[in-house]
Amino acid sequence: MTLLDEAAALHLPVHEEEEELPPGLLKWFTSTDHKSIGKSYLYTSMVFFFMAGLMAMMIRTQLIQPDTGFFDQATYNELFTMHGSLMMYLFAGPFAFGGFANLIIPLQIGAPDMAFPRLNLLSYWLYAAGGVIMISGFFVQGGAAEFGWVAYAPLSSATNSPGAGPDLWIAALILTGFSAIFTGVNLVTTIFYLRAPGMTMFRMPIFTWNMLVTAILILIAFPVLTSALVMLYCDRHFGAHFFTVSGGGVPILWQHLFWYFGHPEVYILALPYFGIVTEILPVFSRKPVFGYKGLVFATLAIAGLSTSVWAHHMFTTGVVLLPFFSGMSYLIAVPTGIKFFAWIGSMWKGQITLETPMMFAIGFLFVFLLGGLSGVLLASPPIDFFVHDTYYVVAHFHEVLIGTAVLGGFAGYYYWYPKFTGRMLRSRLGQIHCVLLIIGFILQTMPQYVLGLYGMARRIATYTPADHWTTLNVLSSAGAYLIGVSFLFFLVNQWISWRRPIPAGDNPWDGHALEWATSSPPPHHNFHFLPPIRSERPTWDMNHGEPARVDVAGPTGVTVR
Amino acid sequence: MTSDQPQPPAGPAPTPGSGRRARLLGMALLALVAALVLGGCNLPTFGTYTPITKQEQDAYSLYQGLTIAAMVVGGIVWGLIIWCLLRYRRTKRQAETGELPKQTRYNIKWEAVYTITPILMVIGIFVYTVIAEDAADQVVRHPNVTVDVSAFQWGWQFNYPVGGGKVIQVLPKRAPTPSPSQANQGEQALASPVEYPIMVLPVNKTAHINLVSNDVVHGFYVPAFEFSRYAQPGVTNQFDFTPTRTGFFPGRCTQFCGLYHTEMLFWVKVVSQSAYHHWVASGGKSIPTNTTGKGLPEG
Repeated sequence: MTLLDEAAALHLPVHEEEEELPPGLLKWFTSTDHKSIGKSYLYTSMVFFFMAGLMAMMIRTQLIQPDTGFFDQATYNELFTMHGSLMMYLFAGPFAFGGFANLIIPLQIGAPDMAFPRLNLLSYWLYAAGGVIMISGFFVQGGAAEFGWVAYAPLSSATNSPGAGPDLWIAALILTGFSAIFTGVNLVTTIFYLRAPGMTMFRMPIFTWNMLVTAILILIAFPVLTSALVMLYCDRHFGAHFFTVSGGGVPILWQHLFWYFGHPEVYILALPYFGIVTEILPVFSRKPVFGYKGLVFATLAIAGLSTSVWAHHMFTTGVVLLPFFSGMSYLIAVPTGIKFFAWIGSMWKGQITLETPMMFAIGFLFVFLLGGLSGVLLASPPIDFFVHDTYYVVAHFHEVLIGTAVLGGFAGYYYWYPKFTGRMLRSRLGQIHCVLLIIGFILQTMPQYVLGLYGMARRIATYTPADHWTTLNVLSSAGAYLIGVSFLFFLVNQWISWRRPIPAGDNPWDGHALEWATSSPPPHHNFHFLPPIRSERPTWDMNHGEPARVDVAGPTGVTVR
Repeated sequence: MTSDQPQPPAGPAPTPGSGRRARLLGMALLALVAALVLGGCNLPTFGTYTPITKQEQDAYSLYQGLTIAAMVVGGIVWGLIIWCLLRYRRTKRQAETGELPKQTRYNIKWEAVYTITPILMVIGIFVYTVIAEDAADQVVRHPNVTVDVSAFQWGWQFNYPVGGGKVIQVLPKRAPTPSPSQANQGEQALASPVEYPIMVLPVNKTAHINLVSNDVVHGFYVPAFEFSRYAQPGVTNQFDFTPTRTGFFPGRCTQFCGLYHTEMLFWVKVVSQSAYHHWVASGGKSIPTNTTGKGLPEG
């Protein structure tokens, strides 16, 4: 597509006599507008997040004392399986690459919509249907799947996990897998072909960059998972032997296929939220992002490395090449470190104000760092032998995932809520939400590190007083309840904003990227006019009337004009 | 450990005022290093057990070193963030006049520093990791004792081939074994207490373990030995333990393996060499081979 075509694309129907949109529910069912689909994704995934959060609190209630007997073992196994599956497959990913990417990316690159609007709607419905199917596992005989979110073969075989629950789980993931693949295709095409004139690759906001890399990772990882699930289904029902020893199959193949998806998946869940935080920190420091190109290359490096570290989940299988996977895993610390220092550089000598999104973003920095550092320890095979499959690992990946998907995700939610609703959220309630969430979260995970080192294995339904794990478990459960309380403040905030709206205006935060140049909420095809795009923050240039490149530090660190 | 301490970037654009800060930071680091060096071998355990086996000593030192390194790096990064939050808040005057900070985009010098420093640290950590990992996975050619461990839903079997075609078998007295279709009947299947099997090992002798699974993937884990390894169908994993002191240590399955994963426990009893020979001579009967209690490892 040439620039001329792109320009023509921009002048597509921005007619004022917009086609009559059907009202209410019907609009939700049928609209192919990226903002409508984005909101559907955002709120659907949030519903799954709250369901999974309630399950987490049920799990923590079971573990608050030895032998509580709150749930029997089968129910407990269902709970942690569904908690993990909902959080990983139905919340953390779709919240970002369905919700925020749909809402924000066309706005950030000055496009009227996504490249394939109908495919986009199909993705959403596949995802929603997958979610419903997964939840329905609770209502069939034998209950939901009970093999953890990783479904290791041969535990997931028809003999060891009979019943409809596991089949529903597999079917749900095949559907959401296709949904993710379609979204990935849509995102890559949109970002490559629908950028506004002047929006070169190196002027794209970091969030768009990260979503581009995420979409490419989706296209690498999700087809592998989806195929593996089809193989598993064939094993269960059509007498295939991909993962069973008896028929000449190889059980460990499942782990390789799963983690070949699973590790890129970790970055599919992390990179979008890195992008959100990179949008927020500079805006509330009133500076441009520091080390833009370094950040882009760091993101690319993380994505590249993430495809060759999968077996660090398999160090204790005894059948993987330890030094290779350990070394590659360590290397990921380098681009992640670059990102951290770029974030600090973006705040350095700025004028920081602590609005709610900024507080969440800083909370992300603190919490994600904890998870990242324990990740470096886990990348060492002999240390992994200490703590593999214990609560140390549980604490590690919750810090990584809550740091990104929850703190980063809600940072983005508070940041862009004014844009897609035209209303503000109350700042004080948001700040209370943030502080309680961070305190609750630290309280929940830090004891889990110690529990893991004391030998508390993950996924156990109970323990005995003689284990001496009780005090730490009480602390951890208290933290989980505090997180629950913090989200009450979020819901109240939503309710107040719904009942007593405060109009947001086009650009409440003095934002940098193009989405702040249009109205809130944006009109049907997003822009009535576009500011000239001469740097990576066109809206800022427009509002501050300065030429795009004022203080570009040259290679020597000298400021040049 | 002290050789690859990170050099903290004092910020993207050093100004005359930052010299004093850099000196202070340097002194603080020096004090920390001195404390660690003077502390000598009395490094804290950071919540973990001091490992019982010879194979895990290097891994334990690596764990201590890496934890310290992580704390130092974490402290520096947290410190820089907190410094930004304290020092660079927007003042009332700035808000009123609309004055903006310098719009710095790049600083190649600092970017190079924060790229190269982590690379150097990673290389250092990698070297120590490979050393510790080789020790942990080292297998001697002529072990003193061989134990064939097989994991099953939901228990452990320890077989000691003791020569002359004789095998001492250690099994759980009563393992929870309902069929999966009974899953929803829950706890009733466990009405009578399970008696967990005991693996008996002689102190200061090298035991060779062959680990397999009869059904699904299990995790063989002895917290006090700081070691875990998957038991998998179709794969025999081999490793050595040389316990350096006697005691009674809990072990359990760590890889989720189905309904009674929680109950899949065992014990490791490290005994004197004469007691071990006595036990073998008695055909595995002289030492109480079952218990229903649980406890922390001794020491």
